[in-house]
Amino acid sequence: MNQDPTEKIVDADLWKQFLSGNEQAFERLYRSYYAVLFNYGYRVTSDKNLTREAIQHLFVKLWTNRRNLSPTPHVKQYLFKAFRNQLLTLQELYRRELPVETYNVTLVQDPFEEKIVRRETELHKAQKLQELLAVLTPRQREAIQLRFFSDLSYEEIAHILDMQVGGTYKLIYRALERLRESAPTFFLICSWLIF
Amino acid sequence: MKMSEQHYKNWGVTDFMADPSFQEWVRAAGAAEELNSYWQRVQQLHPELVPVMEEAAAQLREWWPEKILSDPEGEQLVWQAIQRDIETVADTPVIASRKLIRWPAVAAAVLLLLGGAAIITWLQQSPSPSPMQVSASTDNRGQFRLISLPDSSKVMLGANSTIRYNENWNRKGVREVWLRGDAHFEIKHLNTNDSEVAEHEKFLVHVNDQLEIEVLGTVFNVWNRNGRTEVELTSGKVKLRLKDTGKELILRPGEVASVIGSSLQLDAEQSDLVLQGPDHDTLYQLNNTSVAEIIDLIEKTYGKNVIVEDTSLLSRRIDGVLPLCHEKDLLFALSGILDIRVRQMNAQTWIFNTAE
Repeated sequence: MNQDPTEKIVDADLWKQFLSGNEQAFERLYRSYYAVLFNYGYRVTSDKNLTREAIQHLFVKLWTNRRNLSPTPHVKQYLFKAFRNQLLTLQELYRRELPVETYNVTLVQDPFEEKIVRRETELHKAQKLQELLAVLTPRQREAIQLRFFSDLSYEEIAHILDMQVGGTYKLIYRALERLRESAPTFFLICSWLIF
Repeated sequence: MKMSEQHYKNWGVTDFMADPSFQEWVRAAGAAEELNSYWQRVQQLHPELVPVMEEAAAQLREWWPEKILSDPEGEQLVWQAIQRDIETVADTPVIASRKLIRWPAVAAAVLLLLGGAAIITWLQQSPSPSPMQVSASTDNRGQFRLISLPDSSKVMLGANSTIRYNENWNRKGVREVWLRGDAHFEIKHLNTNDSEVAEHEKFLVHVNDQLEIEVLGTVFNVWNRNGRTEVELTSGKVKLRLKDTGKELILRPGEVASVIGSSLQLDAEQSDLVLQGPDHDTLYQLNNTSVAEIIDLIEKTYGKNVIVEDTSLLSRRIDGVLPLCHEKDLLFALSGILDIRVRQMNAQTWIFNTAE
């Protein structure tokens, strides 16, 4: 489901207040976007600290540069795009800082991941999902994350990934096809359960 | 959705799965009527496609997560870090390239700070024991707090407020508290004779660094809204003093005074919204209060956004009591009194709707 139109208006309004220096509006934006940004960043990088840090930098930059920013009706899209750039910058930075061997983060061993997955009622689903997504190309994975985990529309994704809407459609289509090919039995079981 | 239904003739499972309108239909589970009837029509036109669509829907539902990963601890930590960074930037006019902060480093810094604070506290305490300050705060998540002061006077602290006072009150000094926000005070009498109050029997409330309230055994409220501070006296006697101009005003029971900017004046009318003391179950007393003001209070108390779709609602006035400590009770009471529907759009936003 895409963002509720009223929600979008509320965000645009908060954004305007934030631009004029309203700290409460700024905090509200932070509070309403932390979870979705974290969710997205963590799923893409599987690095909790990196994700938190990117959110921190994003919001500090927003506040200090607020006089150079302009009002927008597309707050969610804007924040995701800026956040994604921030993630990429940080990732690049740390990749250069750290020797290659130590940078190998394995998702399964992360106790944090275990904790949050346990918190979810759909434990099995979430684990299955991570395994499934491993077959995708990074760009396909990202498009799927944005569409299905962050509830962004095709138009918004196109903007964030700097591509045409038609291209986004193709990207998601191919990703879905790949997912279905790689896990036929999984989907089969699912359809048995439903019918 | 303007495409002809013929369009779907050769569609496979993936085509449906990748179609935004189809995705929306699956996700919304029958919420949008237009969407529902559209896809039902497609199914009627292409009965052969029904199993394909059902498979596509089942697959989407299977791995479309209902919940997102949450990180409440990180949300707090990062917010603190952001505020600290913003303050640092504000302090340094030249924006230097700032070093990135890794979390382990932050943890170390916090430990160092704590250590430093402990040493400073220890140093301060050892030569001559200076008075320790106690501070209590409430947040904007519907929190209220009952506080017992060292002389056993009571304070009911409203949401989003802070009170500060010295830990020990000796018998010779003035009793003093510093308040930011809203509070209901019930101050203990030390002298029942108003005209002969000694210095050490005084009780002073400093409000927002702006107003001083001198209290003589009294029940009263301090209330901040729309940029002004209101003081309402229930019983006893208080003297108000503006710090800027030194202007003074004596308040009698039932009277309300307000501070707007640098003026201090007596209000003609009784306050229409009163924070009740600890003996009441319900927290706010409404006297012909407008819905607009109640919304203001809700936004302040719970840190929520309230959207009113029918603006005529704003000017309606109601009497009674408002249970503000529990969100659910409040919403239930309001929807009953006003005959409205209250929807919670997301964690931050409530929508008030006149019921059809």
